[in-house]
Amino acid sequence: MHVLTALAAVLQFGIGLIVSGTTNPPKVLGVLDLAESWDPSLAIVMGGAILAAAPSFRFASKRERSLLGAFMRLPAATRIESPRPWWAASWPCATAAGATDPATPGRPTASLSPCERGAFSAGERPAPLGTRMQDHLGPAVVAFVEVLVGVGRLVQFQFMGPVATRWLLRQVR
Amino acid sequence: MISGPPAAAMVAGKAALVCAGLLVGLGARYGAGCTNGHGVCDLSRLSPRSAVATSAFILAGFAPVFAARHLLS
Repeated sequence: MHVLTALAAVLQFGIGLIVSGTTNPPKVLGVLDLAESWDPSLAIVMGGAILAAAPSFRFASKRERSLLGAFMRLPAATRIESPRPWWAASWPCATAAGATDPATPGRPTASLSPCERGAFSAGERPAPLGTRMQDHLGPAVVAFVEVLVGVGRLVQFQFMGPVATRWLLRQVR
Repeated sequence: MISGPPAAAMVAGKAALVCAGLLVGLGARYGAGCTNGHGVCDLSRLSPRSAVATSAFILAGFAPVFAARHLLS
C-alpha cells in the first residue's frame, strides 16, 4: 500500500512540475529576468503549491506517523544562520547556467528534510537535427529521476526503518 | 485538455549543466534545503528560517540572470 501511495505521490508531483512548466529552463529564467519580459507565472505555481500544502503540513505537524502508518519527521531547525542564505543563493546561479529546479517529492508523509537530493534535468542545446526529441528529453529525464528518487525514499522509509534512516542521516551530516 | 508535454528548451551545454548540477547540490546541501523544500514545504509550515532562504535565493537569482542575459550577451 505504501508503495502505491508513494508512487502516486511522486508521479503526481512530477506531472505537476512538467505541466506547470517548472522543468522548462527558459520559463524559470523568465521569473528571474526582471529586465526583459518578466514572467512571474511560476510564482503563482509556487503560491498554489503552498496553498495546497499548508493544510496538509498543519495536519501532519501534529502526527508522528502518516495515516498509513509510515514514520515521518518534519524539520525541527528554526535558527537562522548567517551563511546559510548565501549558500541557498547558489541555486539560481546554477539555474542561470542552465539546470532546472532541484526537485524531489514534497509530500508531507515523508519529510525527513524536504528535498535534499538535487534532481535536475540534463540536455544539450537543441541541434538542428533531432530538435523535437531534445525538446521532450528534459521533462522525460525529470520524470524518470522523480520516480527514482521516490523509489529511493520508499526503500529508505519502508524497508530500512527509522533507526537505519537516522544512522544514514548522521553519516550524511 | 493537454495535447502533450510542454516543450522544454535547454539553454546550456553539457559542461555548464554539470557545473550547474554541482552548484544545485551544494546549494541544497548548505542551504539546508532546495527551492521546493524551503519555498513550498517549509513556507507552508510558516518557517521564518525558510522565508529567509527563499528570499535569498530568489533575490540572488536576479543578479546572475541579469548579468548573463543583458551584460555579457
